[in-house]
Amino acid sequence: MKQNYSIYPSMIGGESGVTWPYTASKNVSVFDDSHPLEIEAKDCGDLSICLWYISPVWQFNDPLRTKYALLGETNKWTPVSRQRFVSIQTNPEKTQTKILLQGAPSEIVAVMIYSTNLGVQTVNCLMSGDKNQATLTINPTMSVCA
Amino acid sequence: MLGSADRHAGVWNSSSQVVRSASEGGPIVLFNLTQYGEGDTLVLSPFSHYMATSLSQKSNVLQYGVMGSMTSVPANYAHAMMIFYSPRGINEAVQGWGQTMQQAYNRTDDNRVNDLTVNYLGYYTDNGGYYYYNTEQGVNYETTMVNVAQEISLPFHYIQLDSWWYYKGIGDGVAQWTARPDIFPDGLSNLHQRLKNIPLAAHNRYWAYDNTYKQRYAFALDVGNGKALPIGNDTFWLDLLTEARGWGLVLYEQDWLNIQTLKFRPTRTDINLGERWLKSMGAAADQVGINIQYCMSLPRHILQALEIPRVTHARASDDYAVHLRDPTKSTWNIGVTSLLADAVGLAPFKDVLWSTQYQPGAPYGSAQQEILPDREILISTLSTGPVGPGDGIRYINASRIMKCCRQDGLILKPDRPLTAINALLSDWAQNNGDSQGELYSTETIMSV
Repeated sequence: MKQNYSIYPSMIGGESGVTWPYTASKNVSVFDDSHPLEIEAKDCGDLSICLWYISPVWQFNDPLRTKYALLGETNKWTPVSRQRFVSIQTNPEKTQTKILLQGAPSEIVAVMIYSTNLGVQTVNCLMSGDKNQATLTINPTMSVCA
Repeated sequence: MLGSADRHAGVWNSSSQVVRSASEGGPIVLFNLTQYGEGDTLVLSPFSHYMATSLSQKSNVLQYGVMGSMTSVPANYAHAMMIFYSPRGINEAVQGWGQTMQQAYNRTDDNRVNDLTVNYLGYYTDNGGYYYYNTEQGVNYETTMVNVAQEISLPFHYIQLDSWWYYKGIGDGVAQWTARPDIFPDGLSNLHQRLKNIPLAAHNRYWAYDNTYKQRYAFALDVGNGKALPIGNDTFWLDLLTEARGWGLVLYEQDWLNIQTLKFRPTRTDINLGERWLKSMGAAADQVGINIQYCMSLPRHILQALEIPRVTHARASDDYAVHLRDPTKSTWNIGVTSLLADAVGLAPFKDVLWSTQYQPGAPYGSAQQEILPDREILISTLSTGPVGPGDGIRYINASRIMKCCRQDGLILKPDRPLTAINALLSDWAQNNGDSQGELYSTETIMSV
């Protein structure tokens, strides 16, 4: 990069949410119109990879109004892809989200989830059944995959 | 290439050279600098007969029409130009222009979405690959390819065979598209069996004047340039691709599109020939069930692909070997060409890559290296095009490569290729063609 850039949601498709650098998924911070992503030319030269991911934030209807974000599959350049994630569904009461994953037979997929009360957690999902799928269930107090 | 070598940007005024070469040029994107590339945008391009019409410039006048080199124009010849407007910035304007063009030609993404070589990890032997005109020590290509298939423990779903296997003639053009016995002594069918019937992608180039097909099939000939071209009004392509299907071909790679078109009089003088050549290739591929990759293309080839749904992807950069020989020359920077490719329905292809920095025995000179292997696999993965490592057998970094994919080699992709963001495109023009960097974005969108 030859100059610095401040990136706002409108410059890259409009979604705000949380962002993290690809090297440190625990470093989750806010990304919105008041918190742009700052790209420093001095850090992003020809011998470096400057890569950030952004994921939108949802809110549950629990007393704490817990927020969470799907950070996606660990150790893949595309943490959330349609090849891996089939569907994301939240119940009408907004107390639970079910995420359907698919993969190769017996493949284990590690998925990271960020929430305001638990921080970044990693959940392991084992692809099983004749469709080689798993369901990741997220609620305000925990995330499990079965 | 997708016209990558000649893309440029600048400020639109009466002294700008917007079109530098009518024959090599492509679509023009005009946008409002004061809106920083996020607002009013126009895309200008031909809308038909892409192999015979051009945008050109004389003084400060932008022109559109049939190429002046064509010797005659038939009565009632009709062609069209497209001017597309969007208020939503450069990326959306180019995508909208492309969508409109695709709809006009009933082009769907069925073939791209079902292309094994676009969906799954594969292995490449082209210019940048370890085994490009280079075998394992002391053995031939047949043994080398079998070793690649047996000894690399990665879930490859296809292997690409580059130009090193077939017969060449005058000017290094293809004389006969069959296996040379010093390369594959037992032939391609036998090789395919020894590779446990893994699907194959195979390279082809411009046709030599002294090719062995011209006695049996109709060829346009250019003795001065030493080249030829199948006219396509007979069973040439059907026969060629049917035979290739027999030895496992699933992807036909047509390389050297620029040279075949520019350094060849018939395509520059016969108003129908270029279009007929590419359409007849595509029609035969469709009948046989094979997809096509375009390589070393000009923008006009990419636009012509609007009418040829079997073209599923195109090379978006110069050869990877350029980067291996000189790390200051980037070939991974496909953020602009990817925008054009994806708009008309083609996946951009970053080219082969190395997953390990140093690979002694590779054919790219003493200084050869990949300075940042992670970047190569990252860009390939986010391009939504083929992911094709070409490391030497001993130099594969499997864990680095598998960040692209699921355990069985299915590539995990975003919804569209990563492209340069509007702000960078705007600054590229504002700075008179001096790019301020490579800053790209992409996304996966899922409804909840």
